[in-house]
Amino acid sequence: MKIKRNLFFAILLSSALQWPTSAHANTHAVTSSLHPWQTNMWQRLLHYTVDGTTSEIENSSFFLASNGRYDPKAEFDATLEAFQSSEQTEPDSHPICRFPARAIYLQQLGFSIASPESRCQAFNQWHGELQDNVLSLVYADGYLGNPASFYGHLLFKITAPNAAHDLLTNSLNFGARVPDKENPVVYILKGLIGGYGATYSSNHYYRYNLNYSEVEMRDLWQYQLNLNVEEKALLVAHAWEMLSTQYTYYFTNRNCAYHIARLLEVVLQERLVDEKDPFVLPISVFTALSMAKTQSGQPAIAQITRKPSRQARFREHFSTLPLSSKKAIEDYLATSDMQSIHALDFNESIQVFDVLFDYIEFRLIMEGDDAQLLQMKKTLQQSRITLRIASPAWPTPEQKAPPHTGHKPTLLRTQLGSNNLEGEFLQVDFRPAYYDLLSQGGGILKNSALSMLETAWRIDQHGSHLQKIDVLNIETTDTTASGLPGDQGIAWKLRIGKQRDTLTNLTPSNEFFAESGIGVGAEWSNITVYSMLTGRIQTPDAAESRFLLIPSVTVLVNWAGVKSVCQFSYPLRWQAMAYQRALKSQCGLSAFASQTMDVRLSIAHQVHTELSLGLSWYF
Amino acid sequence: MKKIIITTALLALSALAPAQAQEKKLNAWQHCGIGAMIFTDNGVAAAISNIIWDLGTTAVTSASASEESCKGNRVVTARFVTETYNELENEIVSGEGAHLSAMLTLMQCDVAATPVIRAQMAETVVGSDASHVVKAEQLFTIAEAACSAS
Repeated sequence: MKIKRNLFFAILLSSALQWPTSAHANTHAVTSSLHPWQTNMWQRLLHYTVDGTTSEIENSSFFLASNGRYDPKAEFDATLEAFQSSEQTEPDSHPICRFPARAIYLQQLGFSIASPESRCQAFNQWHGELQDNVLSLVYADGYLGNPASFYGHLLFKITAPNAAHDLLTNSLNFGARVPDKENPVVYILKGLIGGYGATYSSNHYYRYNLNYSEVEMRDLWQYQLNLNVEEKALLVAHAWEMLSTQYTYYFTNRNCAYHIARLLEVVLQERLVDEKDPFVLPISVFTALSMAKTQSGQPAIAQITRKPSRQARFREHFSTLPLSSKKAIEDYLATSDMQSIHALDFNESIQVFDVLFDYIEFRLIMEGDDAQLLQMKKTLQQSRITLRIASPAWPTPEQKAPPHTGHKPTLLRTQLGSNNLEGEFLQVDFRPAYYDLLSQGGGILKNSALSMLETAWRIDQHGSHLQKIDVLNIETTDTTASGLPGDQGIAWKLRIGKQRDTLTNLTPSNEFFAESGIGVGAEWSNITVYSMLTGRIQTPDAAESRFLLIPSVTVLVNWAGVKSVCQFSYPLRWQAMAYQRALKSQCGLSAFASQTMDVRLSIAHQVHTELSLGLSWYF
Repeated sequence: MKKIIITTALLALSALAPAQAQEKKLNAWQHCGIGAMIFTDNGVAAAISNIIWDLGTTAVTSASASEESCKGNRVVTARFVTETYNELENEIVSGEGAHLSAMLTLMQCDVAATPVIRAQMAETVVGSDASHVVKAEQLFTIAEAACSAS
């Protein structure tokens, strides 16, 4: 009877708790005729699909009704009954402590429910002092050392106002449950087909900071959420609930980005991701977040801060040192004599020690145990510890474009062009993710290309052809290296795929290939140049070539919003005749770039010449 | 009224005392598996570098202590010191840093203990050839003693 009476009040109150409306919020419209279990809030707290038929949370322990996963009303009734039950339980095992966000919502609806804050010790301890802390979403830059991290990673984090406390606050991570030492190929395959379970986990932030920033050398971008006290309480309570949920992991669209976005949506007007999207990347969540509004109608992001990785910190600090300090470091590394460091004034010398500590840790991580480096570290520490306590003053870190300012991850491009062998053509390119050498904005590795399953179809007078498919294409050059021993910066590439050759007399050809190259690069102002030597193995082409060696030089220029690249290569075929060894020149430029489009112009020449103009759409 | 408050406080303290005493006796490295944590050559905990793969579940293998007793603040501090020892060592050498402040926070210790910790570290740990885990335990002991004295 009590439940029925409360339901009546809930229906009345639901009209007072309508979600703010906006141009994007049509899916959140709540009318007074809705029952509480039909509201967007209830649907989002339980992670029901948009049609409200099934929760994406798979473990039955998350539901208090036996059919709660499929019946929002049954789950609502069971929740209300459990919350109002007078049955005595241990404080932390009471349903209110397991589902504090539901309790907060039911309180908002006017039900008489005990406050989670008043009885849930473990929950209170987990979130700490919410008055001082804020909530953030952290983006870890893409990392080429692990296929699962190519596209960046994101974490939900409770953020404390000072750095020491911040390391000890709790963070929420989402990922697949993968057995130790899983084969990477098996990992990718099983990740694609739903072969793993997935859960949230909670850890002190220092562990993530150590893993991502100090070991994997990834910049961390902290997007502080612009929430009021009520929204903070609701979101942190929902994050706590998420720790007891389980899912099936799909690498492309039911991954960390998707599920952490679902978590955030309880305090936002808009949906951040669409459940039908075939690809959900971490960066897409930040792009959506940059345009989203909180329930109270505020922009969702209050502030964005970048924490440079250990590598970036070392290089940025080194680059700002005066010449005398740089010389002192070079002298020390060449002679192991600290005389030139001690000759500096105190402030300069402690800056040098700081840079050298980061440099040595960076090299130890990159190169593993090295007796000489370890000895150097010991000697430097023994010397620095005799000086007085002080922190060197450093200039403000380099300003970089935040990750969400780059173009959206998925590409569809239409090109019109002409080839003097094959005539005019129309080409359609599709790339699920992510960027190429001409991409601009934040969220990408500078002067790099990273794509998977990039496909191009061409239609010309001879019919339609699969022009190319890049199963994987990574090309990168590191031009921010300090130049010190062990930090020279290299250019490298790895590409696997299939491509038609329309520039030589070997056409028609359509080889499967794998190629890998290594080289060096340099940067002057807006110009980057790198040279590379690439080895290529392929199915035999028309000249029966299976192996190629390809020296190349690439020039990238970024000027006034227009980015251009020219690549000059000289493919050497063992069996080929002289005319087949012609220099291959390819140039392209990108203009009018935004998050959703750009215009591409390209020209290529080897034996034949090809020109094309394309319009790209990013989504 | 004052009597009631004092009595309640004493009762609370006496209830807490055995647990604290038990935790004081606990050696996190021996009893909570921290000493058995695997570190790579350059001193990075395997459990840390594996976060992406294993979701960062903390690998506390409790040999002789109960799981509950290994969740105490002292054990959390011991784990923090071990996992971030590289950062802590460099920060102690310089005398300042976020990890050092975090360790002092976990030990409920005043920043005034820093010079003492630094001096002790200079004398016995910095420059020693001991393993990463052993040096972490030495730092923990030095810091705990310095904090008690401060």
